[in-house]
Amino acid sequence: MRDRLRWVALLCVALLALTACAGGEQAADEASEPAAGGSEEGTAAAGGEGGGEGGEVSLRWRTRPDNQAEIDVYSEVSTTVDEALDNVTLEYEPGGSETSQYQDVLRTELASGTAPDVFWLPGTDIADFATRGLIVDLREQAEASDSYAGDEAYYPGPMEFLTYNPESGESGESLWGLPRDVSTFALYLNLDLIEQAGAPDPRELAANGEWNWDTFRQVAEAVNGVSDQTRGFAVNNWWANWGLFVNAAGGSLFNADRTACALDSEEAQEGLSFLQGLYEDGLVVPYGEDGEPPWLAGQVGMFLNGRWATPGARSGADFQWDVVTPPEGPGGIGNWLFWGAYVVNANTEHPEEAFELVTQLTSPEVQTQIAELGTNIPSRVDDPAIQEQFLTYTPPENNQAYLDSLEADPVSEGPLWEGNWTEYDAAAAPLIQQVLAGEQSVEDFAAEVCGVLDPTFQATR
Amino acid sequence: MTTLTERPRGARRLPGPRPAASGPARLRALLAWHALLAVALAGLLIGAAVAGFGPRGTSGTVIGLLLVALLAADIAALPLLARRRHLGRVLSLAVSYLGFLALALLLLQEIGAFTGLDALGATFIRGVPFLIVALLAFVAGGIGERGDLPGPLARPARIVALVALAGMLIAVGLLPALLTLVQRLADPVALGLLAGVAVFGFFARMAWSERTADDFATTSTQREGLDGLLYVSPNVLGFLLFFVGPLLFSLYASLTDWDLFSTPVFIGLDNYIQILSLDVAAGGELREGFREVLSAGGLTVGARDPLFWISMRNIAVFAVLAIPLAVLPALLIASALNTKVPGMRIFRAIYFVPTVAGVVGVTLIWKQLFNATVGYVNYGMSVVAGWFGATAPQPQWLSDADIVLFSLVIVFVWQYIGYNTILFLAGMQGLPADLYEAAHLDGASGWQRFRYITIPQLAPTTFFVVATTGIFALQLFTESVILFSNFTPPGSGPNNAALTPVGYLYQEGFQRFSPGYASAVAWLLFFVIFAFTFVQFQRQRAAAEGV
Repeated sequence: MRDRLRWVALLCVALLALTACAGGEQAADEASEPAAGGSEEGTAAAGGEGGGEGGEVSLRWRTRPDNQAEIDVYSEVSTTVDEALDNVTLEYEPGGSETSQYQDVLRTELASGTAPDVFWLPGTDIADFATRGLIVDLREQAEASDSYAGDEAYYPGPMEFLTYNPESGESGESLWGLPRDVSTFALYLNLDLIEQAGAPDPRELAANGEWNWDTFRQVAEAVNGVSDQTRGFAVNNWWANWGLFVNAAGGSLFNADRTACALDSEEAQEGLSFLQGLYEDGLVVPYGEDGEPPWLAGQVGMFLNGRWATPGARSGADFQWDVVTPPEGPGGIGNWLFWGAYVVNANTEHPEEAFELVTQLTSPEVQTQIAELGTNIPSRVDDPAIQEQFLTYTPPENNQAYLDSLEADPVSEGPLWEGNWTEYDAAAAPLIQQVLAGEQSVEDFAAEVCGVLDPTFQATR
Repeated sequence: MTTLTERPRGARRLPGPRPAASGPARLRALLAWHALLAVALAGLLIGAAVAGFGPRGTSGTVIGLLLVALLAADIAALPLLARRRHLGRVLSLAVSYLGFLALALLLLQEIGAFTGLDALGATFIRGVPFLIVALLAFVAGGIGERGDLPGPLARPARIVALVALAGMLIAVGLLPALLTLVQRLADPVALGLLAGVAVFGFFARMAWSERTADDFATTSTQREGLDGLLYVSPNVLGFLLFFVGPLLFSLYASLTDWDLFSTPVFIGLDNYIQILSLDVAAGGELREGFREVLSAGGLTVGARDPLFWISMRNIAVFAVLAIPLAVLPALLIASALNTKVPGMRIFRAIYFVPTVAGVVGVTLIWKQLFNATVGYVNYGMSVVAGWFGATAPQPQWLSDADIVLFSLVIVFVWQYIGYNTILFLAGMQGLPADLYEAAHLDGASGWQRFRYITIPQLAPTTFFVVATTGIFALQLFTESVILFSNFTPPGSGPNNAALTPVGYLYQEGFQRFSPGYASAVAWLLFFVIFAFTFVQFQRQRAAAEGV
């Protein structure tokens, strides 16, 4: 009896193993999918057969969603686009969030040949991936495509970088991807706290053209005085936050063609000095502390963040809140234009279909669908209805603040075609930390900074 | 039962002339097989070299070297087989067995078995209800069973169980899977691999068989040795493939300039030289290419790679603080827990909870607690200070460069103190009670018993605890990456004050496209950890010899 049982168990395990060998129904489906594989040299396409039954092409695509709501929307988008594309089957896979090292995982997958066919990349990483041959120059596919709306259909800032040809040094030639969305910074206001402080409403100041560094500081001081626990202002500790003040002072992180450091300019020093002064006077949540929890806890009057902070504010803020453009400095608002793009894996076996997918993912319909989440701003400029639609997604009531910043000549974020953005960022961060923690004067910083950062514009270590 | 011509297993061959050859056909078959294989392998290698087919780059080199090794073993086996030497049989078996395994893995890859396992994982849930029915039926079948006499439900239960098992197999997709398997095996490459698996398997079996062993007059020791090797071969091969292989590859990578995507360029020790280059300037300026790491008393130490040295400095400070704080209190807590007070098991379990809790989740909670403005740590300090009419300081646990290492120490100690406590407790419970009784009778106090019996007797446990805690401390990564995820690069903390060597090699390997450089950092860290463990080991041995 026991022997017979053993044999039955063994037979079951063997049959299960056999099922695994072919993977059951699901594997049969997967067999038709082309994992975008690659050789060690990263040039030749590898993977599956590429086409399934009846010439059906399967594509995997990925974004970096911040929460389950975004995953749900992108999954829905995938279904919609799948239906719109003939002979293409899509599989959407949410990548890790910002803190789970989305790009690190992607790099590893690209090296091992398991990365998806189409994926989203932050604007600062485009150059690195393009110059290493990891993503496709889609210009050829764009010219052959009927559905491509043209370079001018998108915000020009990102397109200048996305069409840059590193060999000729000219924009308008290559096409490394299409922008998924754009965003700018806004000041998230705790209206209750500002009212309690008796400070003027920054939105009104902005409407009257009086919203500048002086009035900003006055509001911050007033809120700071409400109690020992309150702070006038909060920023997070990454490059764009302090960079905004550099820009607003008329300075820049780089020289005009982004081939050298410019943080030693007088304007850059002025911007950093203003920010350093806010920290010295205790008006800001300490640099390095996450600014969002105290803002959501109602202890901060103004919190600098991008449009992506809106879903968190909607769900987490238990007070009246709205947004306003950052204050004008001596050089203007100096806002950033943040962007990320859908790009195509250089090892995909279906670049044409992948490009069609990219155009669909950046179509007005899909952009509107995603903008409804409140996460970001559509990247298309060829249809005014998209922007009008965006204004209706409240709160915040003052969505116009984002569009105003976009029209006020924002500085497009990275990438560095001549240099290494990751190196630049990693080298700049501790130096800035020292300045804002009061451990180093702005003058000493200016004397040192470009000596440290300029080598990051060279390709070699 | 043995015949007159057979020798029982385990019996040694008597000295004297070799027995007459038996099984010449088997021997001829093995010789022919290895000769044919040698020709095929040589042809394959020459063809790959001349015509340039096959994989290129590092993987091509590794595969080429493995094939050369296989060819060498195959050729070496031929004369030894002809002379009926045991070594020839071993080589024959090794070549055929390894070839069989390699081709089987390739076949599984070709037919998509590995991705199929994922698919099976997804569909297996559909078979679970059937499996539960089968298990219930199995249990029901045993009701009323008396010795060898089956119970009244045995037969129907058996039928139900079998039907349920069949249902499970169908539910998880056996039938379409079989169909797919047949389709995939119809592919010429898959068929060729299948044939290869069969041929290699056949000759491996032949070389291993008892009859062949007899043909080679194999002694019982030789038979047992070979059998033993075969039994441990899955583990040994896995160890070689998944541990030694990557280890050697990382050593090779550390000698290259490699960006993960292109062919590695051999640069010798350049990575190590870059990492370890230091310059000391007394009052003057550092040489070009060197940046300051340390400055004291007019002396400035600079490095070509200051981040590596900063990370080493950080981890040294961290280890000096964290190891004693995670070990000494654990020893005291273990002593307190080593009593027979009611409810002590609950306390033991409580102390062990941080060890089994997920590191990421726990560290995220600590991150919230440490928030300088809305965190509970500073809030708690304020409340306590308020009781005494004082004002508590509000440390910036996560953003003050002078404090962040202490924050890491707190999290680390909280996490490992319970684990160490359990280890000490286990050690204490193994100590001989008569020693304590004798000491008690001699009038030794509690402290004296602890100092002169517990501590010396626990030396092996202490060695293990200190060594493992030290290794964990020196490899610190997850805690710093989570606590300081908002810094650039993630995990570095303010002004790189929380940067650890593992964090740094992660940055180099996965964020800066420099896995070769990262491998060099990893090997240097390995030597540091090895030195730490070696010193502990020497101290432990010296202490043991002293006793």
